[in-house]
Amino acid sequence: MRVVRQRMIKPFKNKFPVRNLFLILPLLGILSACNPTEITGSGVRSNVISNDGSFDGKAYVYKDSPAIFAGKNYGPSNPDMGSFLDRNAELITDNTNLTGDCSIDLFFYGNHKVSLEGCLRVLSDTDSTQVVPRLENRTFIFNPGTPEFYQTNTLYHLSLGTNTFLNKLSYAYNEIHALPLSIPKSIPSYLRNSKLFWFKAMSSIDSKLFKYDYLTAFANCTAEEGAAYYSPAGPELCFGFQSEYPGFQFVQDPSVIYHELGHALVSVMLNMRNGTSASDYHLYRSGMGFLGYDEAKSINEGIADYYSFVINKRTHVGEWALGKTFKQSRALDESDPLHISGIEETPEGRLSYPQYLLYDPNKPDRILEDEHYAGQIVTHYLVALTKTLKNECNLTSEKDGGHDKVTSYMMLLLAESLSELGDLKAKGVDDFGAPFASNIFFNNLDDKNSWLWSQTVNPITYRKFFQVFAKNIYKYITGNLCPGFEKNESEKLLDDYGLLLFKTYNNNGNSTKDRSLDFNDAVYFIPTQGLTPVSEDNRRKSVLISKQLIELAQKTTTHNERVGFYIIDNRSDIDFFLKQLLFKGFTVPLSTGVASVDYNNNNILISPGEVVAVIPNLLNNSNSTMAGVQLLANDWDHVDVVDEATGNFKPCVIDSVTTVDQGAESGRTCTSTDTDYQRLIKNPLTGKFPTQAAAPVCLVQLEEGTSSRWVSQNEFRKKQGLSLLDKDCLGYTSTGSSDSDFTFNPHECLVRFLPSANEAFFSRIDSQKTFYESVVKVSDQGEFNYGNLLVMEVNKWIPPGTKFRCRMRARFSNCSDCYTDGTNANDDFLDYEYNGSKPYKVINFDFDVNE
Amino acid sequence: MSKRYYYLILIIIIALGTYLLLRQDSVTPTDGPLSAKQFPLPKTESTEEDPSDIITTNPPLEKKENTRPVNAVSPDWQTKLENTLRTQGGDSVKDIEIKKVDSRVWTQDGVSLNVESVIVTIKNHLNQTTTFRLLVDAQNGKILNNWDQPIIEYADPTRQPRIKVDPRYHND
Repeated sequence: MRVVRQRMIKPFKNKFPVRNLFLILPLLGILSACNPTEITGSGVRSNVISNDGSFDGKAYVYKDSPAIFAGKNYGPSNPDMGSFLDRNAELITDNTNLTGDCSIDLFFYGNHKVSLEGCLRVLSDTDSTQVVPRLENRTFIFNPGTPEFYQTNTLYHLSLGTNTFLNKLSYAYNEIHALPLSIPKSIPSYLRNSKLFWFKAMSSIDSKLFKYDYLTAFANCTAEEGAAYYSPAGPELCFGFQSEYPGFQFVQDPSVIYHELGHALVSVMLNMRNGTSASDYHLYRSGMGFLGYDEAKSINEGIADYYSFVINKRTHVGEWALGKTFKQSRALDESDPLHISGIEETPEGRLSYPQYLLYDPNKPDRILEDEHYAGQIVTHYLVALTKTLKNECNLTSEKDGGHDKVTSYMMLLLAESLSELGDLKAKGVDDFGAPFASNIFFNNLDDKNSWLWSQTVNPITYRKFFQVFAKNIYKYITGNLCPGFEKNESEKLLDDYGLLLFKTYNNNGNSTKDRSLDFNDAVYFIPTQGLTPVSEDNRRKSVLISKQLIELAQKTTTHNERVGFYIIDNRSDIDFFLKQLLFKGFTVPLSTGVASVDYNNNNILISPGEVVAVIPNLLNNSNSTMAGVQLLANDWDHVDVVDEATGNFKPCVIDSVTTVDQGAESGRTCTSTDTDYQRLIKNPLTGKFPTQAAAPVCLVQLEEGTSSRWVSQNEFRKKQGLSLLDKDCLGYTSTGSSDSDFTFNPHECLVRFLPSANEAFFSRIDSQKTFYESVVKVSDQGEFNYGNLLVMEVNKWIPPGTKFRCRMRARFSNCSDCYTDGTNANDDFLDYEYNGSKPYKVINFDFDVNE
Repeated sequence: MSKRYYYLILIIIIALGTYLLLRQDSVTPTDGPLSAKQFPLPKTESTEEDPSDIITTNPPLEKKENTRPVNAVSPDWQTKLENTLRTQGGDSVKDIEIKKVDSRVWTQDGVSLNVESVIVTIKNHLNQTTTFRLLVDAQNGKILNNWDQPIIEYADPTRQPRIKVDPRYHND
């Protein structure tokens, strides 16, 4: 059997190493003796050697990108990839085609090796169906530059990244489950059964849970120019190209492969608690990131960049795929020469939040909301923590300087934190080897609403993520693996990055709905936990601001150009936006017959029948920068339902804007927040509406004689000369005479914020400025990020002049009173409280429907 | 106190003691399981039963609830869903593939419905594809939720689509 061997010619980055000639010449002699025949293929010289079986399943691979091997002057067009191959052939797979298997060792009352056949697969493009088989000579040595060559290399790097992850997850699992049962843990002991250490179990029952049976990578993805993507529903990875540079491909840069794989691994870790076996997986899966810019997405990007560092130990990512094409490679620590002066590895010089949220080291003067820039703060912190732990845990003397050990610690922290944050079963902890039975929840409200809570109402932000992460450092690193790394040191490092955004570790294990219930009420072995406060002496750079200092911008004599809300009702812009949303996977079910972009008249006002984008322009009245501002326009508990038959309600008095004189209510159910989240939908079996429910944000003003009051849209639609039927309402879906829409909400009959477009996010607002002045005005293009937009439908039957008030809720990550109000020893609000007004500043959006 | 009471108290004490003893036996006390480092075992498939083998799996709540779905299952839900997606995507949609993952009864907001969980793949006129998940009313095809959206990353972040401020706001 013969093996075609590509010749490796690794260019010398610096001077030619004359001293090494004595070593190189004899080596070349030996190699040439092994390679008797030379052939040529695809412009690359190759040798033919015999395969005695030692080359089975192997190939020669590039272990890093041309930018690393050939230096900064090597251009991105037609790279000679054959010249960057490692001298030793590497095992690609034992399988007969380009698929990879996985396995993990889990120790829980015995050692269990769990194997998954075919957990990885590489194809050429999204249209491909055939996996490349092994060559006749039983190797995967394809000519460099061919699609098969890139697929082979992609599988090599994906396998390396996946196996490293599973080894580190195995370490994490075994470490934490060796700890006493009294310690609450998030990574579930039943991972072996659920097989959620990967995307699914490999049995027939699961094969339909995803689009593919494998994590499938498209190495030569022609669908995406200048881009790569991770799609969790595949699960799939796509690595694109850039037509401007012939021969250039994203997979030529292994750091980008590790980065994209990092997103897949985040997805795995987020969902580890979401099933005990294939038969009871939660209906939904957790993700990190919504539409456009937000902090969950930024943290996801930061972790993905960090994963490149875990694998290749380099504190820079994308030198080739991002750097050579658009000058967009990213540094992972402050010592990188890419940074501007002043950024350095000192407490003062760290890449801190929120100052550097929009910082592009390649173009430091540019202001742009982008999750990759914001994610640099996360990566720099994670790398700094890695370096600190190597020293503090005395691991620098290890062969690799402690990299493997400390990155295992770090993956333990990430897996433990993400599995808690993404917990949709909402139990939080487990009984002995299984979920506990009682109906108590510790994460994300409860198992019915956990997806809404974890993705929209109380999503992952810099505050939420680093609070959980810090708790786990305290529990596992300080408390067990490396006691030398003390709590103060951990808090100081977080503060150097401006990330000490919380007052306690929120580690007392309260239930999501009742402060008197804790872990001990659900799991006998876990005693009642104490609440650990942050030492306020350690908070030097992390500035917290009161929510009272955020409001809607208004025109003033000194700022007569200020705008409270931007309205976009240009038909082509909104039409394009809706198409983009669909392609990003955000379906916004548009109403039929009562609203459409066809009514959009581009007068920057709100008119009957339009579909408009609304961009609130928030003002920061404080003397510090606000960051991670979230504005919610989803249903919440702000009304008192006074009529079960109609669901009509009185708005609660929650601020000085809507008063009792205007029809608001201050007693009855308005004195408390519902612990269960339920929308104001009629039950078709009883014909009644719930008496306690979350209502849509928009109220309408009903004129009665000389007085007026704010009422439900359902009440209004039957009065004021209107008699709108259900089918004339927004959001009513009926496609046949016998169809009924049982999820129809009549209380948003006239105006409504569309599902999937009812949350806006803003990176930062500078002191005494509006968001527009802080970010949009000073950006190159003067554009809004899609994440800044809310989308509203307006019913075509609304009489012009009708007044609406939409009660949105705002909060931000560096807020002093959005997560705790100082009572209960600064313990965080319970999850159910995010169904009310307490954690938020209510932002009233008042408008009249235009003629 | 009579002898009968003494015997009763004795029986209660014995029963309690036996219960506590059994409970201790069945569960390793607070020290937790032995770690892999302490007792490295050969890396082979274990045949012994561990507690996670014998768990009684709780089916999802929505499957357990004894609530009658209020909607019927219509064979047209898929066509109706496709129409909804085409309404949003307009002429940019070239192809839509809907893969059914699961049919179940879903209870939310006090209402039980027959629903379909699907994976949707859309190809646009540039032959770019996107894949995500939807939960759909099995009668009228109404979209109830969407999740598992792709993370699309552009080498040049300015390629991310954005919306320009209308110049009428600031007379720019």
